[in-house]
Amino acid sequence: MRTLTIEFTLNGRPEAIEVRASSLMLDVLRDHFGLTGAKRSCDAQVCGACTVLKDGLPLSACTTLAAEMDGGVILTIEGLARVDGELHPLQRSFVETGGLQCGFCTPGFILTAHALIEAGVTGEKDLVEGLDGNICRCTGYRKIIEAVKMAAAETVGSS
Amino acid sequence: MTAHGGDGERGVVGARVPRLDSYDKVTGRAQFAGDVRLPGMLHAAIVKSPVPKGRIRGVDFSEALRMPGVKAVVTADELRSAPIRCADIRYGVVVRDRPILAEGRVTFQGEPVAAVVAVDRTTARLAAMSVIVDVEEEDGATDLDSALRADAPLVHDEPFEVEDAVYKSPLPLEFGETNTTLTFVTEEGDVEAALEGSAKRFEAWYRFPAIYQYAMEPFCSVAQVDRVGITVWSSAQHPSQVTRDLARLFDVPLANVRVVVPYVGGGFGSKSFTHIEPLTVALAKAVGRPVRLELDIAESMTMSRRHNALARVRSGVDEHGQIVAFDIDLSYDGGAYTLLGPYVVAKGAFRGLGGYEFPNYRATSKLVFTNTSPAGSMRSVGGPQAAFALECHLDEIARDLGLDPFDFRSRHVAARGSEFRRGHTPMDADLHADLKMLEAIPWDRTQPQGDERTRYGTGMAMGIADPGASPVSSAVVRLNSDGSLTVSVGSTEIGQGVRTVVAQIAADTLGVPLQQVAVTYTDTGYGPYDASTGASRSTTMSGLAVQRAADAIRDRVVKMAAAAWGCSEDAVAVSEGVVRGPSAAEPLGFFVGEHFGQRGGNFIGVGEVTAHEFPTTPAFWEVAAAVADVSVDVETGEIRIEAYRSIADVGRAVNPLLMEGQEEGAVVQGIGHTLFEALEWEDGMLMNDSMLDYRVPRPGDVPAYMHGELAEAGDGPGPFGLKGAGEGGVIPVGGAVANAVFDATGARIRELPLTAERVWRAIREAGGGAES
Repeated sequence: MRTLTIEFTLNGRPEAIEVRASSLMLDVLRDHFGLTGAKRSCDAQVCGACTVLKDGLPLSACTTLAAEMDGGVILTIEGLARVDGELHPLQRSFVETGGLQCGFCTPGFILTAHALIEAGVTGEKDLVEGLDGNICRCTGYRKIIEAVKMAAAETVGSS
Repeated sequence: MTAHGGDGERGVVGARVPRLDSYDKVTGRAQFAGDVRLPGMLHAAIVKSPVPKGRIRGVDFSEALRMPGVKAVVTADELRSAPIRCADIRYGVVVRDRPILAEGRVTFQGEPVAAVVAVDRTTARLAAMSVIVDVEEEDGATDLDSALRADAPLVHDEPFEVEDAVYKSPLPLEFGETNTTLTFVTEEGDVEAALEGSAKRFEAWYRFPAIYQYAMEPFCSVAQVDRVGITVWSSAQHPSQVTRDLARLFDVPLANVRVVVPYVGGGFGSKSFTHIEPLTVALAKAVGRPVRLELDIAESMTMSRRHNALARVRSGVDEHGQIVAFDIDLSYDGGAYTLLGPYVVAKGAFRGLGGYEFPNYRATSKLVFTNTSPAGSMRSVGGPQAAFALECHLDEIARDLGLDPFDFRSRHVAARGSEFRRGHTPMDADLHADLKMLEAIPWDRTQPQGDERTRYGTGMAMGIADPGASPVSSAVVRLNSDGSLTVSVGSTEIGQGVRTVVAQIAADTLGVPLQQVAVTYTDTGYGPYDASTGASRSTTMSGLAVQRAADAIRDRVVKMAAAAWGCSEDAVAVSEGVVRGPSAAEPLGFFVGEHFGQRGGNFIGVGEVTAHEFPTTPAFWEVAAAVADVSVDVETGEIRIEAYRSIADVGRAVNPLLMEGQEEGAVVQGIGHTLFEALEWEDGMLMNDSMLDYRVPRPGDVPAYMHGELAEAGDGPGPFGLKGAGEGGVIPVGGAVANAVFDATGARIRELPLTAERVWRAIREAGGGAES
C-alpha cells in the first residue's frame, strides 16, 4: 500500500504525518486528528458539511485527498475560536441569531462564511450566493443568513 | 440579551434565549453518534439487494473474506445461531415485518442482505462491494398505481405479527390478499346521498411525490455487547423504542439494554423507530468487539421516506356555495415494509379533512405495499399529501363559485369547542382568529412593470394536524446542594431545542437562573422514559413532565421551610433561587443540606405524563395557515416564491427564537417538496440516490420575504398553555403555492413537485403563456 509523508499547518500548529495515498482528507482529520467538527454527509461535494479551509479557501474534505493538505495552511472549525475559548464573531452571531438547530451543518457554514467575509464579500446577495454550496435542512436558512450578515457588518465596521 | 429575564411575566419562559447547545455546536465540540469511538472498535458495511424483488439463491462472500482486514461476513443464515442468537429477526413499530437482513427473498432494491465487518470503514465498504448476491428476479409491484391493480403481484404473501407494545394497534390490518394492508375510514352522515342532492359537484385527482427526509447526519450506530448487556450509541429519535426492540430480538431484559443518543444531526421522522441498531448489535456479537455501522446517503435514503400518495376528492355544494358533501379517497405508497404506515394513513384521513366541518363527509385512506424502499415518518405524517389535495380542491370550488378563499374557508372551519370529529378532542383553537391573523400580515407588493413573461399570483392554504403521538413521558429534575438543577428527559435533541426548552421550564418553575440548569444526554440506561421524539410532542409532553418534577421539588422545599420557620406553606415563596418566608430567607440548596444533615445530597423530583390524562385524541390540534405570492415565468415555467406569510397556533412559545426556527425550517422543507423534491424510481430502481440528483432547498431558494406569526392564546394542554409545534408549517406549502400558480397563470396543477417542466406544460395545456 503506497503511503506518503505530508507536512502542513493545522489550526496554527505544524504537523507531519504519513498517510495512504488513497486516504481522504475528511478521514484523516476525523480519525487521525480527532477533529470531528467536519461532518460526513453527501460524499459528493454538494452539502458542505465537511467544509474546511485550505489557505483560506473552502473545500470539501470528503472528496479531497489527504495528500493535497501537503504544504497548506488548514483551518477547521476547532481552530476558529480563540485559544481562551472566546468565540469568533461568526460563531457568536450564529449563537445569537439562532442560526443553528441540529448543528450538523454548522461548522461548514461558519467556515464558508468566514472565507467569504475574509474575501471582502459583504452584500446579502453575494453572501447568499457564496453560501449556496452549503445545505441546512433544519433552519430554513433565514437565521443563518442573518448571522452571516451580522458578522460581515461587524467585520466591515471594525476594519 | 440576558439568559434570565424573559418577558417579565413568566420569567425565563417566553424569552428569546439562545440554545444551550450553541457553544458546542459552533465550535465543533458537539458529539454525534458518528463521532463515538470505542477501544477495539471495528467498522461495518452493508451488502444490498441489486433488484426490487426476487428469491435469494445464494450470497457469495468468499472474495470478501480473502481481503486483508475483513473480520466477518454475516447473512440472515447466521442470525439465529451462536454467537448472535437472535430470538426473532423481524421487527417493526406496528407490524413485525422488517428483517434484520433479508431472509430467502428481497423486497426492494437496496434492502440489506448481508454485512461485512472490517478494521476500517473503507475496507468494509470495498469488501461489501465484492459480495455477490444471486437473486432469481420476480415481477414486482414497483409503483403505487400498479400495486393497486387487482392482478398486481403481491409484495408480501404471508401474514406478519402485529407489534402492539406502544400503540395497542386497533387498526384492521390485512395481509396476503392484496397489496392494500389497511383501509381506514372515518365518516359522518351520508356522503353519497348528499353528493347526489347537491347543487353543484366537483371531482379531481391529486398526486404527491415520495420525499427523502435528508437528515444531514446519515444513520449511524455503534454497538457494544458484554456480559452485562447491550449498549448502543445511535442517531435514533426514539431510543426507548429501540431499547424495547433490542430486548425482544436478542431476548434480554429491558434493564440490560442501554441506548445512548448524543446530539442527533436532524431527523424529521427518518430516525423514528428502530433501523440499523439490531444489525449493529448482531455484528458486535458476531465478532465479539464493538462495531460501528455508518450508512452513506444512498443507503440512508432506503431506510425511510415520506409516502407518495394519490388522492381522489369529490365534493358537492348547495345553492349558497356551502359544502354539503366531501369525500376524499387517499392511497399511500408504503414501500416494502410498514414502519408507521398504518398510523400515517389514519392520520392522513384526518389531515385530509382539515379543520373543516362538513355535514356529510368520508375520508378513506389506504396503505399499499410496493417493491420500493419502506416509507416511514416525516414531519406531519400523511399531512402534506392529504392537505395538498384538500386545499387545492377548496381553491377550485372557491374559484368556480367566485368566492374569496379566506371567506370560503372561514365559513367552513370548526368553531372552538366543537367536537368536529366525533369521539375526538374538540377543536381547541380559534381558527377564525387564526385566519384573521394571517390575513392581517402585511406585505408591500411592489408590482413589477411591463414584463410579458412574468405573471404574479397569490394563493392560500390551511393545515390541521392531530399530533402528540403517545402521551407518555417521565422526567427527573435534581436539585443539587448548591441550588443548581440537573434535568433529565427521554426526548432526544434532534435540533428542535428540547434540551433548551425543558431547561427553561425547570428554571421558570423553580425560579433558578438558566445558567444553573444542566440537561443530560438521552440514555435509556440512566434516564427517564419517553415514548418518542416526534409528532410535535416533546415540549408539551416532556415539558409537562419536567414542570411536574420541578413542582415536586418546590413542594418539598416549601414544606420543609414552613416547618422550619413555623409559618404556613402559603407564606413561603420560591424565586431567584431563594426560598423566602415571612421572617427568613435561605438559598434553595440550603434545604438539601438540612435534609441530609451534611453538606452533600440532592432532591430528586419525578414528573410523569400518562395516557390516562388524555382520554381523547389528539392531545391538541396543530394549526397552520399560509399565503404564498409567486411569480411564474411563462416562457420557462420557473416559479419564484416572492413572499410567504404564515401563522402557527402554538398556544404559547417557550422560546420564540427557537419556535421561529422550527416554523421557518418547516416552511422551507415544504418548499422543497413543492418545487423540486421527489424520489424517482424506474421499475423499482431508485434513479436519484445522491444529493447531486436529489435537489433540496439551498440558501438561494428562500423567499425574499417571509413572515410568520405565532398565535399564543395559551389554550394548549402543555405547561403555560402551550401546544406542540414544529410540524404544522410544512403542511400548507404545497396547496398555497399551487393555488398561487393557478392565480397567476390559470393553470391548475394537481401534482407536486411544481417543476419548471410541469408548470410549462400545464400553462400550455391551459392555453396560457406568452404570445409566441
